[in-house]
Amino acid sequence: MSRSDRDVTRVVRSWLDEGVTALPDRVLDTVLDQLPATPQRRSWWSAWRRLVMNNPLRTGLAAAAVVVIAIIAIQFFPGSNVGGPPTETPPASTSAPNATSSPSPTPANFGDYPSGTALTPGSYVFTHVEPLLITFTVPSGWEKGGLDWVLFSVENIKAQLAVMSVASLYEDPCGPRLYRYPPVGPTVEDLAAALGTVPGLTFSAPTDVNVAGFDGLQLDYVPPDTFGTCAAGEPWLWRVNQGTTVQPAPGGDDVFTVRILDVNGTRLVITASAPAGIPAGRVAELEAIIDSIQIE
Amino acid sequence: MDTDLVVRAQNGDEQAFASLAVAVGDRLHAVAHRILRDIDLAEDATQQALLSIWRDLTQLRDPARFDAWSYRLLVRACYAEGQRARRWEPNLRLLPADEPITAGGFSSVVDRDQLERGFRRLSIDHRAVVVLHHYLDLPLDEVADTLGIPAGTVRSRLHHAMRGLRAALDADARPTARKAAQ
Repeated sequence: MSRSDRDVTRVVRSWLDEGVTALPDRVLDTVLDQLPATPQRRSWWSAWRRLVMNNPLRTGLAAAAVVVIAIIAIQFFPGSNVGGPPTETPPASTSAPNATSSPSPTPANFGDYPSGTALTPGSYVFTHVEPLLITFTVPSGWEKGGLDWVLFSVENIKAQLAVMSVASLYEDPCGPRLYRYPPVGPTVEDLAAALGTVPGLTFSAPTDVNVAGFDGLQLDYVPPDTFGTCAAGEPWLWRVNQGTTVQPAPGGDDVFTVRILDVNGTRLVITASAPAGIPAGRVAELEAIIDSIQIE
Repeated sequence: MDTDLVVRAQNGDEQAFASLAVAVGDRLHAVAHRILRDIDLAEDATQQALLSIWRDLTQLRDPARFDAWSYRLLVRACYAEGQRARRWEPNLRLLPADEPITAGGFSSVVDRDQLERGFRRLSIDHRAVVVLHHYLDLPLDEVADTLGIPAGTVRSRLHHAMRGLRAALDADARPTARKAAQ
């Protein structure tokens, strides 16, 4: 049944009223700490910008600027490869105090790094599935994802590794029903069996797997999905980590592997996904990262 | 807004700006979170907006218009954060969904789910109009003024956005194609 405009407006307004409002003190502190290093623009700046410059003047100023910059570069960086291939720089992150992680002789807490941080090759540790400490090693070309338990490769089309606990599966990934999901028992086998019943997706039969000395089951998504046009938008697979996060379902020709482990009574799920179009070698790197996992 | 604080901050008074930031920080963050639907991105956008406000405050000619002007800088920061998020976005990803887990299928809960999905499909342009109008209660001409776009464009974006949200809400009333075929 369709709703009136007034109903839609009321629901939207009510929905917008929910959610966070308070700005964390640390954000405010960061801003205030940066004030001394952030000069205010001089008030005549905008007026100066509006000055009409004719083309010869503009060209002359630009040429002069180039000459000055070149002289400074030669003076201060005589050994730099001017004209050579560009050096690789890490992606910028507006909130990151450092956009690349530090080398980590001992495992660094993955959760301490801002999203988008280019990871220095080395060891890191996930701490979000309590009480487990999950250590892993990354090669170059990987970054922290948008959440504390997600690794991305750096390309625009990203391979992904996610480590999580799974709270519940959606009854229908393509359906619009948030809290309608069948109960899933607590064991590895329970979750593997439930995956085999997800509408729209086919998974391989579970096979035995061992990660870091812990036994479990592995299932692989078998393309294609049969979602077709999903009225609800992006299909969601399950809610993870105490239900605060959802993981979208695989689809198309994605490579998507699920490992479900029993770690001394804690059910741990590791997903590795590789969409079509990622560079060769990323799948092997994903497997190498999983092979490097140690769990305490 | 205390225009005296604004004027003092315009003159480089960091203490005055700190008071200003405390006064507007929560509101800016709330708006950013509603536009971006992501806590981390919203914090980053608010941080960038506050620094932009400090840096560009001398360009604000009428201190009484501080609120609208600050929202404009915030929406710009949200655009930037939205672009950054897309750059990271893989085909498969995890999405924050901060609703509590409860059993049952109350329609209001389903509505929230549907709105979340529908809203995420909107561009930042459309989200900003919805949030400024329906969350901050700004009249459409003020939304236009805040965003620096014609009022007609605001109306068009709002119409498009609300149509999308309505479609998302109505989707719950329809059986999925798979179930209909059974």
